[in-house]
Amino acid sequence: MSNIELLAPAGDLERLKWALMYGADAVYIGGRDFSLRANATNFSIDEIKEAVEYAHNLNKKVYVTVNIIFHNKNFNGLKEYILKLSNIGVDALIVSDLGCIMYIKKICPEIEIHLSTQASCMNYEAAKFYQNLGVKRIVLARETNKENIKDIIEKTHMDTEVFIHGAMCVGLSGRCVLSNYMTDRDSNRGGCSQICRWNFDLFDSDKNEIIDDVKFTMCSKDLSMIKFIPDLIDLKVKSLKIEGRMRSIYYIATVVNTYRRCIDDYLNKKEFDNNYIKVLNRVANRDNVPQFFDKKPGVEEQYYLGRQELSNQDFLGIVLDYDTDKKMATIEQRNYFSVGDEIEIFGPKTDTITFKVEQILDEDNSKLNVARHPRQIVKINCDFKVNKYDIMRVKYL
Amino acid sequence: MSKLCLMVNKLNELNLELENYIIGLKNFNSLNILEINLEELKEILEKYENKNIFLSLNKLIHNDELDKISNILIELSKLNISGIIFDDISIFQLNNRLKLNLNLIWGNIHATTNYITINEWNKLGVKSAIVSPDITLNEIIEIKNNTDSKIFMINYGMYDIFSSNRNLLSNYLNYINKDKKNKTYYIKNKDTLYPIYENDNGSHIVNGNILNAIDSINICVKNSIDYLVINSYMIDNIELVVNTFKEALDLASQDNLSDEKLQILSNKLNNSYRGFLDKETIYKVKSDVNE
Repeated sequence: MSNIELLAPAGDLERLKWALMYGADAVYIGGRDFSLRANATNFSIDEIKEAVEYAHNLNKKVYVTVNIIFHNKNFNGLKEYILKLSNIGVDALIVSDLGCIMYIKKICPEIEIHLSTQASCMNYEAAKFYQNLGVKRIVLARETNKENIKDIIEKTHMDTEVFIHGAMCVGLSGRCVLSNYMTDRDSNRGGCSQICRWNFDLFDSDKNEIIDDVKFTMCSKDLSMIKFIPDLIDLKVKSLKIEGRMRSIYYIATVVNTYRRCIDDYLNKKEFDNNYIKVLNRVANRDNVPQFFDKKPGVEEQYYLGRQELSNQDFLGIVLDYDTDKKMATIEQRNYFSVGDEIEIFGPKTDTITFKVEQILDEDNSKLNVARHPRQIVKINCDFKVNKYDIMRVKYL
Repeated sequence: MSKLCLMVNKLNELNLELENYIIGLKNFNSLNILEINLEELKEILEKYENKNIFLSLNKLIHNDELDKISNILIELSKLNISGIIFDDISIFQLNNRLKLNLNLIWGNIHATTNYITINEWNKLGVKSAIVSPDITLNEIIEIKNNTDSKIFMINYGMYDIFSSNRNLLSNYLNYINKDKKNKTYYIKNKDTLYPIYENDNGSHIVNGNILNAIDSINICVKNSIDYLVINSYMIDNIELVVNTFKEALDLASQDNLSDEKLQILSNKLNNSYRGFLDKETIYKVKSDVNE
């Protein structure tokens, strides 16, 4: 059996718990400093400690990003921070800056280092360089294709980590500072303002505007490797990484659950379930494609037409309890639903079930026609046994 | 002693009265400069034998290009190249493994932002770096004062601020059913037009403002910044720029560049954009609440 790792993002402690509960083997998190998602909630030292204890109790791992490109003064406080992380027992640090790697090696040689994708490592010679420095794992550049992944693994025998799902940087990681120059926000220190999703007027070489209903944009579709999970497992990739430290618990639970099941299906020689594609397409309201894995992305891998990011209303509630005698599930509401709605419930140990809401009761057992209040506690009919922390969503399968 | 160095965009710029030039190697460069092939390089080296030619091979490299880059590095090691600007670490690896002794210059210009990392490269034998234009002048000076590495600092011109392996222009023009007729296009943000172009490596966007650090030339000289780099990309009168910088540098090197004279020279260039030399990028939008 492959020991491939499913690695999930966690922007805070709550997301971390959901990710681990829904099947991640490990999570990556950022501290309040030195991390490339400077505007996520991120973790205080105390929270990192709690996160590590929580994960280790489940025999799972926590990696901490220290992946900014350092300016001189950013090294201030780094030593103390690394020593604290080491004492806490984090499982690895994700680092991109060579100076930072060597700095960590000096003060804390035993701590495991993973090379961040920010370093854009896409060939085995570069991988060997980091291997010689004692880097344990390479998070490969998103531009690395199947053949390159294969070569790097075969020629270095290093642990490799590959992004399998989420938003894409259109630029080469670490080589895009559009955010710096258009908004003053430092993309290589966690302030990226996602200029690549903006629309621009385009001008030709004579500075005449190219008029078209569709504005120029660099916006890329999201990444999804769901169809290629068997290939990645067969290539002996060590870790499959989901992007999105700032995503919701619904997104994290759904995506982690889908990939967990896909991985387990393949390892257990079950057939691929095409519903996985449908679920992943729906959860972020964005199309997703394999990007560089099987070919160079072209026009089909990009978004035009200035599409809007619609808020996903599929997340209806969280199961808090189930009464087997009365066949009623207690739900914490997250989005409006009503009697007559067709809904689905899924969870780490609950295969997706579908049924019609025929009864909604409030906490006093009074009948309701709709559950309209966020975080309202209600009970609904449910003939199937469901589990605490299962998720209820709109029926779409 | 500080020297001028020109990032070349037209071959005739090699006739300017300068010693140091940076040119890109076709297919392996991602700076916004002239790209030439090996044969053209050999001709240039022969014709301009008294000039120092630094060659940019700073694109990121895929596995299937490693054999080709090995052969190129071997060829380059036989030529009188003053240095190779690199970003991808395979160049460093191959230089060592093949014992080529090429003089390497670390040239990931958005990561050369601190002296600790530059010094780590120095320990590994990489004795020069093109320092990032994304940091302040104070940070650049602090780097110089804490390293033995030679420092190239972009003093004038437009520079690459985005690289992608995708063909973003071609894809878009394809989508709207228009032909790609030009090498360079522009995208507009606020009032600035940013050049965007494609080469063999993908797409590149260039800062639409022309950096001008001539007002800091006394500070650069006083702190022995080794190379003051000028990029001629889209500069109409590069001779004026070079001559103005030369005059300023000569005077500054003799400790004889007064504020008044500097002002006169600066006015000739009629450009006051200083990028991040005087202001830091914003590191965090939100302030920490708990720490």
